[in-house]
Amino acid sequence: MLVLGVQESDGRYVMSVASNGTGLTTADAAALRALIAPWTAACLRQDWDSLLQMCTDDIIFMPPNAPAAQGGAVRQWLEGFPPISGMAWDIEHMEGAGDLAVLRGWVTMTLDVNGEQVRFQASDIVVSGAWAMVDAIITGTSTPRAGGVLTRTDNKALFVMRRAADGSWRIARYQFNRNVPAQRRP
Amino acid sequence: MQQKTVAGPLDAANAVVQTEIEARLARHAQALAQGDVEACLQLYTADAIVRPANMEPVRGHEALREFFSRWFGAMRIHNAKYTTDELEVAGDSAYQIGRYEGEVHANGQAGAFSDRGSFSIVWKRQPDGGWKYHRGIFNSSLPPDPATSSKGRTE
Repeated sequence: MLVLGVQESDGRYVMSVASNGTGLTTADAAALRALIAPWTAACLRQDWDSLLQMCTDDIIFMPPNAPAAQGGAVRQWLEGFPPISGMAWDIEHMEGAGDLAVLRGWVTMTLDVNGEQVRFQASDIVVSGAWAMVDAIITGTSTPRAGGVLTRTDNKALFVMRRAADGSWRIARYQFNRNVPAQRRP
Repeated sequence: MQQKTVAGPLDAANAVVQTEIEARLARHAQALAQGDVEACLQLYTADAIVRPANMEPVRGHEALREFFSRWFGAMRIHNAKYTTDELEVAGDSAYQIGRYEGEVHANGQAGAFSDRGSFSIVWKRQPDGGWKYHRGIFNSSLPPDPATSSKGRTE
């Protein structure tokens, strides 16, 4: 049985009660939160070695309108991703019951290619034993730059995270798609 | 992708869950072909969230009822088939990664086109012991329609 509480502290929600059994413990929650900083740093540096070290070896990315990418193909996909000039994450809310826990948070990203301002909102994290599901919303507004291409990013995603042998949490499965129809360009 | 194999006594438990959820998906496939909205809703928890591509997430039964009503107003899916690539059960939750395929028949139009793609589903065990679709996302693996594609877009 997992019992978690959430309390507001200095305008931020923090988990206040630990698990008394299986599921998300305070240590698990801290470990999941601890992924944010190195993930962000790796994205900003385009350091895909470090980023992939935060993923399971059999990581699968499932983008829309393309075959799923697994293992080495994920690196190719990452190498094709636009440079990220700005990125920040935070966790807004965490709660749990039984062997489930739910977390909401956000991340902002600025992509160099299109000058987009992207807001990421993770609406759920379901943690169950050795894996966790992160149900995320990614929204964005276009910020065109001279010569830039207008795009709007408004995505959603689902992550499955797995506890590795060393106890760390790693992203194992990642599927995402758009919230709005693709727009034709002029 | 290879189907995940879990060694030990979990095998039997996982097999039971897999049999049930695949049966539920098979019934869902029938409902998609028949345009049966209420039968479709039987797949989902009351607060399920489904994340189809190119539209906002669909949250809960009322929104799903509208979603399927609009869908069936436009098309039917025939011969839908769901294949499990991975299934892992932990407590009252399970995640499933898989592939789908089917024939899309637009209402009032002759012929059909095939679609195939991938899906991720989180299942939740219900008080009666059965399993229902709780969270999920699916994508076509085929290139977008050229009329609506957006070259150079980012995700």
